[in-house]
Amino acid sequence: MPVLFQGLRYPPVAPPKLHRWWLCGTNRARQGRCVGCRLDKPKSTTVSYQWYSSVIFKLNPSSGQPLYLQLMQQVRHAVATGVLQDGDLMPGIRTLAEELVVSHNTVAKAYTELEHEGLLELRHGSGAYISAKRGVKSRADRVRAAQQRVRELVNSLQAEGLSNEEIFRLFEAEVLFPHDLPPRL
Amino acid sequence: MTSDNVIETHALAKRYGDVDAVHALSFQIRGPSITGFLGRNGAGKSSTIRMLLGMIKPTAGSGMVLGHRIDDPKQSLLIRRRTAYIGEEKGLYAYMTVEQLVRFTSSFYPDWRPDIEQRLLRMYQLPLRRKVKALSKGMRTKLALLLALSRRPALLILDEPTEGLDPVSIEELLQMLTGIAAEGTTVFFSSHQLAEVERIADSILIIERGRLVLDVSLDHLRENYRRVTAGFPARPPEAEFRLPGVERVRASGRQITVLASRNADAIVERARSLSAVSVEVEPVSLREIFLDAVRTDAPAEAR
Repeated sequence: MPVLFQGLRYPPVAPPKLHRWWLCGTNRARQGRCVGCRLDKPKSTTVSYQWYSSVIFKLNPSSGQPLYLQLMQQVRHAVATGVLQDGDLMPGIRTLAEELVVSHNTVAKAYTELEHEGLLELRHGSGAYISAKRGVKSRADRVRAAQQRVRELVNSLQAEGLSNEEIFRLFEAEVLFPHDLPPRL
Repeated sequence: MTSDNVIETHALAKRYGDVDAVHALSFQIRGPSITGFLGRNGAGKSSTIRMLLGMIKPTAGSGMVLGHRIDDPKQSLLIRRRTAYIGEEKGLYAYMTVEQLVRFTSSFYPDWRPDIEQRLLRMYQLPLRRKVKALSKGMRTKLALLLALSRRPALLILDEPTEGLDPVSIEELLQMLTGIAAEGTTVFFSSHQLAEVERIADSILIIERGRLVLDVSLDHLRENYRRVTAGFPARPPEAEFRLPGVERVRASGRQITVLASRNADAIVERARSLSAVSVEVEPVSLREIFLDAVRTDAPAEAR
């Protein structure tokens, strides 16, 4: 089920010119919908456009993973790759549920969980905004820095003649059972 | 309302002569959600729906819809005021035009919403002046939906809504159902199209010969149901796989297939400990689960 929010682009571009339905000349325009461009008749001439970030979500109903988890992973992935960025507006629960043709409870659950994770900010009556200011990115950076330090330590231990198995056990004991160890010298 | 269950039944039963159409059916549905109601032909789906709507009287048991008792004629009226039902035959007067039928139907409901009516008329692009008998099946379904939704029902019950529709109309209908559920209407629909149910439903009920055989949320189903296939160097002992959570074990030659509703890890563990040469774990589709749930060991009795 690939879904693209139709006509919505990322990065946001200027909204198209208003369709002047009264100049369209088709008979159907009188019923409020123009056949020529398939735009609904605007209620007033001032139409506010809201641009969602366009992301293609693919949910597979028979993949053995709850749909809300699939959706969460894809949002996380989009944030990690930069397709979704801080401050981007996500479609509303109802809109996304209708676009993906899944139950609104699925989308609502995914949004709530993502909000708990701090990746999404639900502003009441306004929408869901991606919030990836620090948390995610700096965490990845911190892990990368830690990996460098661990690599140096492991290299030096290996140079001292410890086997991989022994190093592994030492790490494991240090992380899992810090209180059972003899006090540090 | 005493609870937030939209539908609630306790040991609901219906007998026609000596045929048990529905037998001791108990389930609850919380709203707003989308529930798929599955079962083979003649399993008792339509009978259950008719009982919920007060169209037929249950032989035994009780049920509540929107907090009202289904077997009390006065309360049944209250149920029907806030519930919309679209049956297999849509029940539209064939001799009226679309416009006449909309006006006629609206006069029965004080809480009719002309704004929704207008919006849906525009969206579905129904020909106002055409007679109902000249409408296609898809248009008839759309018209029935329009008449149902213009009242903003708290509960929408559909009996095989996608039957006889083309793929585009089915897609539109499903989209519609997810849309109205998001607006707070609880959707309860029976269907034979398992792939559709699997996409939009929150939970499913499967009945077979009038008995509830499965009542589960689809998230739970996706997370826990697994098929484990293991190959062995020699003929495997089938009995070793009778673990909790195992629904079915099938052995063919040196291979064994286990359908598990939970505990897949324990089954893999067991297969490994029996020195399996290959172990494969796959998710199970709703179709397989349905076929397994309604699998009859004895041939179905003639009705």
